[in-house]
Amino acid sequence: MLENRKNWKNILITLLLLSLLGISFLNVMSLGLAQSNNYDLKLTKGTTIFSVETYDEDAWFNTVSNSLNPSHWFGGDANITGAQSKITIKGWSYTEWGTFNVISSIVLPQEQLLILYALADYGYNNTEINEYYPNTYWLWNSLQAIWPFTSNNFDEKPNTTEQNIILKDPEDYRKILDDYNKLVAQIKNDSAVPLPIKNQISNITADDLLWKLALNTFAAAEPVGNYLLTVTDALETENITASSCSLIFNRTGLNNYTVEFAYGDRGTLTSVIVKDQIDNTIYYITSINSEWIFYMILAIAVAASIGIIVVLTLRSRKIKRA
Amino acid sequence: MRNNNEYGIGLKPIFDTVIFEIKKQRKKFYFFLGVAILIVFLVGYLLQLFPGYLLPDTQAGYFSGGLTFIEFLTLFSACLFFSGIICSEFDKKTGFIVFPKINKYKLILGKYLGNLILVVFIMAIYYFLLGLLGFFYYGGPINIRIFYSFGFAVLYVIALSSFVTLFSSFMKSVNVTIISTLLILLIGFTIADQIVTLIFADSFEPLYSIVYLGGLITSVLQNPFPDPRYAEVTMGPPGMGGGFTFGQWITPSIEMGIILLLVYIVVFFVLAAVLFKRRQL
Repeated sequence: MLENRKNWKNILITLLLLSLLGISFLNVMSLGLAQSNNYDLKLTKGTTIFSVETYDEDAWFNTVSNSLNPSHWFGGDANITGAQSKITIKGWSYTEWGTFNVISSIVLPQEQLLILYALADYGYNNTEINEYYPNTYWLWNSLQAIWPFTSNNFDEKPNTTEQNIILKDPEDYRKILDDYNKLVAQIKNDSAVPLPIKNQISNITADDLLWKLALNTFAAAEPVGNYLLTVTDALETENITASSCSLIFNRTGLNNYTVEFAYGDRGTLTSVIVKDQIDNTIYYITSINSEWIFYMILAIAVAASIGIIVVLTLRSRKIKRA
Repeated sequence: MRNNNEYGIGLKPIFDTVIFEIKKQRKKFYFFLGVAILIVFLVGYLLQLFPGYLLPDTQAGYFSGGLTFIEFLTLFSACLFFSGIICSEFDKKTGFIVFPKINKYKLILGKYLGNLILVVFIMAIYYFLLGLLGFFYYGGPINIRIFYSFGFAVLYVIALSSFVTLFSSFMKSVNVTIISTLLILLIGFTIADQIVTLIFADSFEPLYSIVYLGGLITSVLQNPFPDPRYAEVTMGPPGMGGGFTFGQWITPSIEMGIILLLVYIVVFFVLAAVLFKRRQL
C-alpha cells in the first residue's frame, strides 16, 4: 500500500517536471522564432547633450563643400567647435499608421508638406492616399524636445518639439519608399494635377531617404546592429553600409569622404564623425549623458545615509551598555 | 568671559529642549520622511516609467509637477508637529512641577525649533530627491528657481507653524488643535477663497488665505511668472448647461506673498505669545 503511494507520488512529480520542462521549452522556442523578426524599443526618457568636438574648417571646405558648412546639416551653430545641442526624449507611443501619415512624417521634408496638403484638392487627401496604398505600419512615435546647436547657454525652453518615428519592422522602410515613389509617378501622370505642383515633387532614392533620416534624429530598435543592417539591406542602399551599431555614408563632395552615425545601446544617436579619404577626422560630434552623475550622487547619498544610521545605532548601543 | 558663559547657560536649556524634542518626535519624523520619499518616487519616477506619460519640456516644469503634493505634505506635517507645542504642556499640567528647571518661554522656543528642524529637513529631502531626479532626466545645471521654491516652502511652513502654534496656545488638547487647524487650512480657507472669488471675481484677491499664499511654492517655478494672475475658464459650448465661466486667482505676486507671509508669521507668534503669557501654566 505504501509502495503504491510512493510510486504514484513519483509518477506525479515526473509528470509535473516534464510539463514544466515542456512549457519552458515552448517558451524558448517561441522567443527564438519571434526574435528572428522582432525588435524592441530600448528608448528611455531623458536628455542627451551633443557637443561639437572637432571642426577642421579648411579640411571641410576642401573635402565636403565650399558652400555648405556643418550648420546646413545639423542646424544652429554646428559650425562652431564647442557648440552644444540638447535632445530630451519626452515619451512615446506604439501605434499603427497608414501610408499618408508615414510619408508626411518620414519621407517628405518639412518644406514639402504644404504640397501634400495642396494635393488634397486633386484626389490625393489622407483617405485617398491610404486607399491607393493600403499598407499599414506598426511604429513607435516618440516625442522629443530639441534645443539646436548653440555656442551660448541653452534657453530654458526648447526651440521645437518634434516626433521621431521608429518603425517596428525595419523592412517597412522599403515598402514606404516604394509606395512614395509610386505615388510620385501616379501624380506626375495625373492630368488633373497642375504642373507647378508636379514640378515640386520628385522621386527619392534609398540613399537620400536614409541620409535625410540620419540627419533628423533617426533611431533604431533593439538589437540595434541587426536593425541597422536590415534597414540598409531592405533599402538596398548603394553608398551606405551598416557596421556594428553605425551607419556609414560614403559621399562625394569636392573629394570623397565618409560620415559615420553611431547609435548606442538604446538605439539613439551617440556620435557623428566626418572623415576624409585618408581617414582624417574633419568633423566630430559626441554626446554626453548625465545619468552616471545621477547614479554617483545617489550612491554617495545612500552610502552617507547608511553610514549615519550605523554610527547612530552604534552610539545608542554604547550608551545603553554604559 | 562671564557674559559669554551666561549666554551659554541661557542657550543650553533651549538647545537641550531642541535635542529632546527631536528625539521625542522621531517616529513622526520617520513616518513623514517615508511619505515624502514615497511621493517623490511615485510622482517623479514611477509615473515617468509609463511611455505615454510625457516628460515636461523643461526641468522647471518637471519640478512644478513633482511639487504638486508639497503643499499637502507641509500642511499635514505642520499641523501634526506643531499642534502640541503649547497645549500639551497645559494638557499634561507640567506647570505643577515643583522645581522647574527651565523657563517656560525657553521650553516653548526649544520645542518649536526642534519641530521646525524636523519639518524643514523632511522638505529638504523632498527637494533634494526631486532635484536629483530633475538632473537625471534633464542634466545640469539645476534650475535656480527650485531654490526659490524651497525658500518659499520654508517660509510657508513657518507661517503654517505660527498659525498652528496660535491655536495650540488657546486650545485644550493636542487632538482638538490638529483637527481644527486641519479643517480650517484644508477646507475652511479653500471654501472661503472660492466664495470670495465667486462674489468679487478679479476685484478682490484672497490674500487673507495662507493656503493661497502657499501657491507661490509652485508658481515661482513658472517662467514667465503668471501674468495676469487672475484667469477665467469657460466650460463647454454656450447653452444647455455649457458656456459656464468661472474665475480663479492663480497665484499672489512674489513681493506681496513674501510680505504677507512675514506679517502672518509675526502676528500669529505675537498673538500666541500673548495668549500663552495670560494662560497660567
